[in-house]
Amino acid sequence: MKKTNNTTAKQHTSSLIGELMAESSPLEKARVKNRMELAARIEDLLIQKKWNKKEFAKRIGKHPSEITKWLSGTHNFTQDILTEITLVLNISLSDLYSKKQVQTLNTTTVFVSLKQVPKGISYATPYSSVFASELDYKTKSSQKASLSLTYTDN
Amino acid sequence: MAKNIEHKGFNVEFRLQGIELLKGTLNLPPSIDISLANLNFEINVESKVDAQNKLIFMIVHVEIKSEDQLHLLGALSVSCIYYVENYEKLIKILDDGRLDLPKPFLDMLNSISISTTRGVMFSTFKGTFLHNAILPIINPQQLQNATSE
Amino acid sequence: MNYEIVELSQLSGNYTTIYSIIVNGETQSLFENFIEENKNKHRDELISILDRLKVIADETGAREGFFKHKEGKPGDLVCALYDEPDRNLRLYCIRNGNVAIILGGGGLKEVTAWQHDPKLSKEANAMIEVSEDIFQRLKEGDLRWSPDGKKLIGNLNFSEDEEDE
Repeated sequence: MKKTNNTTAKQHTSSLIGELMAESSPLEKARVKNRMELAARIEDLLIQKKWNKKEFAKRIGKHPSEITKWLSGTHNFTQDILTEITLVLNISLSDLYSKKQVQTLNTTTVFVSLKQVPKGISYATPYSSVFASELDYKTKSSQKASLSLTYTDN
Repeated sequence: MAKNIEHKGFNVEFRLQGIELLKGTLNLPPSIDISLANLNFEINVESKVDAQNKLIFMIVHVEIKSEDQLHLLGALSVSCIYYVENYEKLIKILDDGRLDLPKPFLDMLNSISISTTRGVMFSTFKGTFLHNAILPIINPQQLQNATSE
Repeated sequence: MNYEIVELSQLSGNYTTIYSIIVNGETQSLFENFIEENKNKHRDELISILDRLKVIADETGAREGFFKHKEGKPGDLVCALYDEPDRNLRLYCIRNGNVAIILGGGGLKEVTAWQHDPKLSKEANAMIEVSEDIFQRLKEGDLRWSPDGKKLIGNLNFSEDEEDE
């Protein structure tokens, strides 16, 4: 009988990871965050417009690989490129830097139980463990089912 | 149709914009020995906001488990989408950038969304072995006291 | 490969849970091995990768655009975190939408395809194997994602000599 295992992953901490994370300067952290948030914002705007990378590349006159670079979160955009992007997307520069569109407000979990549930729909299909033995597909694989149909023209 | 509600100092004009079924699964237990006479429900409610479009999403995830909690019998996720006309006045941005909604209004959204999910659940599991697995009434106090992120 | 999936608590955040793999008998995860192997010659790049992972976990989620896909076999979820421009450190991972990633190892990519580099081959193949194992367990019901997709729940220990139920 298969039972549900509700185990989640063990929490693992690493001094190596901690050591390196501590070496990152506030400026570098901010740079990384801004590049990634900008890339995310552009991607969101493309999704809103239902444009894929190819479509956006065509409209802005660039190669799709350039768009891939822009959305990678590592690109350092120039002011001129941002101006081109906002023109094609028909938004202002400040719209590009506005807060992410969908933000999570809250998450709550509750547990409730239902006692004495009235007897429900009974299934005709037998439980394999009690009534029927499973078909042995390995030994019966050579059998072929055939079906013939006769059409009558009325 | 927008509904005006005045409640302890705030006014909200909102309507139910849409209902979306995000997930529905059904798992017949492997053995006839697993009793379906008592069921457990784990209900997780996520709330998300889209400021640009003045929308609030209440996503209700329900997992139905056997009495011993060991068997997942069914799962459903329903998103209730609300359009809030006076969104800017209602949603506040706190000092740390987090968003805040009046508690009574959030409680109302929780209540409406869970009730809607109850109906969708019944429709989804109608005619199956979970036909009588009606989502119990939730005390709003339970949602207030539950762990929130 | 016998291994366990663990959560990297220093990196996980509200938007994305970050996991890695600890091979049986080892104390470090594949991701930590990747850091150990590259910390002397590519320290700055590693710090940048960690900053990026933290932004993914806390701010943006594991967006599709941040990863180079089709790094594994067709249909699996193996991908690579995009390199910094002018840099070639490649980190292989498995991505579950925007909400969970499992970090593996990686290395310097100086070839056009990882199949031509023994080190990258080894790391990419390890993640392909993990992806297949996870997919199999999801199919059999021994593993599942939480309703919000962020947490892996079930049997997170993978041992080749485990008996089937």
